[in-house]
Amino acid sequence: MKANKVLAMTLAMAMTAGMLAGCGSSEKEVKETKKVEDSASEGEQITLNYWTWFPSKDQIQETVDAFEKENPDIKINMTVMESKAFQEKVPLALSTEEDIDVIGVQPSAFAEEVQDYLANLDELMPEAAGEDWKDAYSEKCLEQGNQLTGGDTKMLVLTNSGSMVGFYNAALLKEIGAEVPKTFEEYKAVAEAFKEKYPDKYVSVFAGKDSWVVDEMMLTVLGQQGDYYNKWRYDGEPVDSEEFKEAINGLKKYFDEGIFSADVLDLDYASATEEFTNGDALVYYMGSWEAPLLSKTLRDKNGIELENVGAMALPTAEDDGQLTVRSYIDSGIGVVDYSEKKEAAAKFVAYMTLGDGADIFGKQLTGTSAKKDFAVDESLFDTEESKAGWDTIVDLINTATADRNNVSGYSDVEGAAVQSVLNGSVSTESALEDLQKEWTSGKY
Amino acid sequence: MTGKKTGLKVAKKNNRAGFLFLLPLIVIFIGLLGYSFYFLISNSFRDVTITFRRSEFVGLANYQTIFKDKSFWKSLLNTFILSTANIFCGLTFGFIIAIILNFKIKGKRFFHALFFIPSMLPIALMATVFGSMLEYKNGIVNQILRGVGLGALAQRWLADPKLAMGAVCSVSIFMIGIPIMYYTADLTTISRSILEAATIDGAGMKDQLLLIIFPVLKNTHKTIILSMLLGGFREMERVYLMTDGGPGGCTEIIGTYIYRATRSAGSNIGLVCAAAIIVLIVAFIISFIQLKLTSKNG
Repeated sequence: MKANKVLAMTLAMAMTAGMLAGCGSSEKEVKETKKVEDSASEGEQITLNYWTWFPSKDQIQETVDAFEKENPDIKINMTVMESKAFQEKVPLALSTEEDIDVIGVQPSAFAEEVQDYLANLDELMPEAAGEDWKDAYSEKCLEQGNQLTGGDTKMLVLTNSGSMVGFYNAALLKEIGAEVPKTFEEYKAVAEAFKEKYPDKYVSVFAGKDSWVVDEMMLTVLGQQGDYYNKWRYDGEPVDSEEFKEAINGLKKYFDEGIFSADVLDLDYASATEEFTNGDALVYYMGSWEAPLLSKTLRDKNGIELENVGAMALPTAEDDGQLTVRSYIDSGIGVVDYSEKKEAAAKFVAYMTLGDGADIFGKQLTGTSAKKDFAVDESLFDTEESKAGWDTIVDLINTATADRNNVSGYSDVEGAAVQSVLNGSVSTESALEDLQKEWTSGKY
Repeated sequence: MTGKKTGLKVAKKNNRAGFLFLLPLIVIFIGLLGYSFYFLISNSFRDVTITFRRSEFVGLANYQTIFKDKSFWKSLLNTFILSTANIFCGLTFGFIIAIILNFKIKGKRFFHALFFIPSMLPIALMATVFGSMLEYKNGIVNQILRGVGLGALAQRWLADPKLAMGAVCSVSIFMIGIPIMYYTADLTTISRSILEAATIDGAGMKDQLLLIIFPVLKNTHKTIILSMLLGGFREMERVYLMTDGGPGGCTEIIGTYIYRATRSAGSNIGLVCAAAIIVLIVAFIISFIQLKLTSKNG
């Protein structure tokens, strides 16, 4: 009995000691691993750890290869994650000084959140891209980026984007003998003709299940009526306003008139894209970052078999509306301030935003570049519609009435409220009243 | 007297050994759970982002914001609705199937396994499958309806606010494995003599089921009710993958509410902590009731 007690106590002590020792040894292991990594980075070849949500590895690989060829002593180790996961993980990783040298910067509250961890590019860029580097870079992009990072230049821009843009299946449009609609009435007529010929296909789709996409659609309608979005975003104008009411009711009008069917609200991003790329939808609304759909080369690369794709603005809900989108700087890039490889990192940032990298990456058509003398590779477009589509997108981005400077958390809530109106479960007035309370609740 | 002293000594030694055995768990408990509570409570009074850099003490402001937030209360209500659906399915289908499986039927083990398998599958998998089954255009449910000429009954199961919560709750029917297990275990404890006496007294199958077996298993019902009620607070994947809280936030539950709040760039983590603390208090109250009820019944 006594022997059992002694055995039990010894066992218990061993378990406790083992557990504590376990914790100790793992900590030691981590320290040792870090040491090894540090010493490796001190070697001849520099490896830059680049974390981003955009572009995808496929989209950027050619540019990275070209950079590594030009700079054989620098290697890019890229980690790409989904946008929301990126927003969540990167601030935490930076606060624990994880081994990151370059990060993608989302031009939103994210940029404001991580700005303390970003190096001042005014100090790094002259060496990486020459004293006159700002001459080659869009003033507007520089200003918009600086606004988000307390006036200092802590991010540069890979692409500018606008939303929402309509990508249309030119072959289907031709089959019904219609032109690209520019007014609401024309759009309605196209919808009727299309439904008559293809009752099982969608006239127009967007990812109506994703609340942020619904918000983008509503705000596009708002932008077409003027610059109230900027007034709300920057000058404190209320959400509960005639302008927002018109925008929500305007979006509802497309549903009421059969341009969008109610089941569009059952489609998420992937399924809405799939409906279009499978040829089951005439028009697909998404941001300009889906412009690769315009190029046959890029469609083939992505396994999309559509014959011919063009781009158009959402025909305005009201007669006095303007064919436009909201646009803003989109994907930023910055150097992590605590990185010990800041010079190499700045070299990479300069290459991507001002150097040849901007031109190579530009071939992916993910948006317009901030590099002043950037010109798109015309060989990417094999039809008149696709070329005209790209020109339309560039024009829409350049003539936007409002900034696409979203407040991501609020976008979800606003989109959800618009979904409720579209579903008929609440009135526009009631939704706006709730949104006003939400916006001023102190959460954002 | 000496015997008593020796007994106390043995008891003390037993206690020491017992505590030593518990020590690893206590260390983990204090280290992880204690820290989690401390983290939640301290940050619930602060305005702080996920980088924890510019933290500012804001007193009860976060709690006030949460208390005023309609979507928080809506998500709490939805959590209870989802739990109610789980409880309903467990107490009805779970109970009936357990009774049927208690009979001497062929393939009993196979059916036990069949009903239990969904409980072992990750909820995320079930939610994804159900989500695609209930899609309006390509979902199998609507396709079957259209196939048999009942296309008019095809619905936007997940996108119509009137149907979405019901569609999410419908998955509960596949989560009756655990209640079946509870009932099966407790059915074996019912003395056959009670049922035999009832049969002699002329009680039919229905009477035996409703007047004897169901009341006798009241402790099992309580266990199922309370564990499923608490389980509702841990639900997340089902709603997230099927509707993402939509349409228009009508299927939002506490799990998705808190998750969404943490994921937006620049969001105030203090608000999330305050919401978590409130939910924790509600869960504690339910646990307290559970403890009271179970201790009463010994």
